[in-house]
Amino acid sequence: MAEAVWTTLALASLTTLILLVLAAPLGWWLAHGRSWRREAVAALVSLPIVLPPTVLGFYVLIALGPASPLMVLLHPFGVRTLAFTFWGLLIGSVIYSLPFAVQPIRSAFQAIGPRPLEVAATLRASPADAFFSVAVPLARRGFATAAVLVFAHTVGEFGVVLMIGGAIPGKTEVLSIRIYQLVEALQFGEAHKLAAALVVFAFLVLFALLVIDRRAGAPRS
Amino acid sequence: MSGARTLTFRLNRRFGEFVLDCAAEIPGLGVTALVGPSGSGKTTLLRCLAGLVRAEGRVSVGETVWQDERRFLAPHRRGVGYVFQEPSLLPHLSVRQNLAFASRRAAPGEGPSLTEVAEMLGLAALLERGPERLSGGERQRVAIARALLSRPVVLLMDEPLSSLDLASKAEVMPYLEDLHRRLRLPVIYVSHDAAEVARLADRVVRMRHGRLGPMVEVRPERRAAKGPLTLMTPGQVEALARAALAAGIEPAAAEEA
Repeated sequence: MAEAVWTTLALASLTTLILLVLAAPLGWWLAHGRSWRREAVAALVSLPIVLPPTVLGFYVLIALGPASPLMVLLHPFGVRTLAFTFWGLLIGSVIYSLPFAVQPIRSAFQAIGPRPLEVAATLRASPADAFFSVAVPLARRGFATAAVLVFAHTVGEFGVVLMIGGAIPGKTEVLSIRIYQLVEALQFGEAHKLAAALVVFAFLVLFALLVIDRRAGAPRS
Repeated sequence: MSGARTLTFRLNRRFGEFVLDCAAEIPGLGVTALVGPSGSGKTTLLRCLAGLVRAEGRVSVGETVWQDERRFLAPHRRGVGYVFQEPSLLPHLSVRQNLAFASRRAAPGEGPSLTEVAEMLGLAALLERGPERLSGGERQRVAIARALLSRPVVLLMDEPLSSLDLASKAEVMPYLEDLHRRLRLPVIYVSHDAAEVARLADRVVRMRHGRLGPMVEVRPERRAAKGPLTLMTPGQVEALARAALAAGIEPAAAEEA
């Protein structure tokens, strides 16, 4: 069981980290303008919200399998497949939680408005400088929301991790799958402990989100 | 401050119904007031000069070309100080940090330090405050101090007092007059308050429907001592300025000046 907890935490932390870095430029780009190109990308990013996890899991599994063009590129490096590995799981999680990172960050960037960036430009800050010294700090609540949502969403994920990971203990078996297997094996006592822990966890996460939202009124830390 | 350099521009752009079509040479010293009814394009012209909005044409300061047919210098490479109509402090930074944001990125060269500028604008006691704990007048003083700390080659002020109540206006005005005496760079000051213009401007340009009228000197006593107008008292000059403004500044007044 400790293995499942560890795998879950590692997966959720790494997914969160990767997505914050990935969603920052993506959310920034999406926040500026409403061309059809941007909306197409925005729709693509949001797909995981509406797709059944099995569909997403299925395609990611194929993409990570030994015959996929992506994996063929990695063959010279000694990588034949990422299916049923932790790294494959991580890639699937990143795609699956992408909208939960991009949307709060995009909205937070939009909420800043053009003025602070114009101020930065007239004070000789280059666009990159202004992004890091003005936009990111002003959008920090969006980043906090994204981090909490992604972490929680990854902990709660089931379908995708089952499809891609295959529930290998110590490698790809996460808590949600562990609970499923305990129930299958009629070990209700064990299942109860984990399930209750996840309920408490989920409550704390949502509570944290509301607290972040409450601070909306106080602009300065 | 940097040596005085003339700001020369010729800009045009169509924004739907509105057409901006301006050309002028703004002397490298003193305050040039840009007056005109709202919607005449004053803010748009300032934004084009700063490079925040693209217009076609040419802008240069002294020998430096900011834009012409071939190039367009991004706002952060132009060295404009810009004071916006509403005090636009960076909300996540304290007063000191707002000022330091400018001084850290200032052009190399000599200029007053953060402490000196804060002193000049009466901000010494407010440095550790956040923008949300400042009055409107205080915020605008910080915005002005911040623009100066970036060591601009041109200072653009877009109705810096218009969002303030009367008391705050009266509070900021003496600082502006003080700066007026110290600054060695071209200042464009947008306003539609005749009293403000009479107190600050060395010359006035009127804008109408996206076009500039002739430039009218209103404070001849500041120029080299010559000509009959130097005999006027400041009060008379002010009266003349008011009259010129009230009349919408006719070309005849320009010739007289």
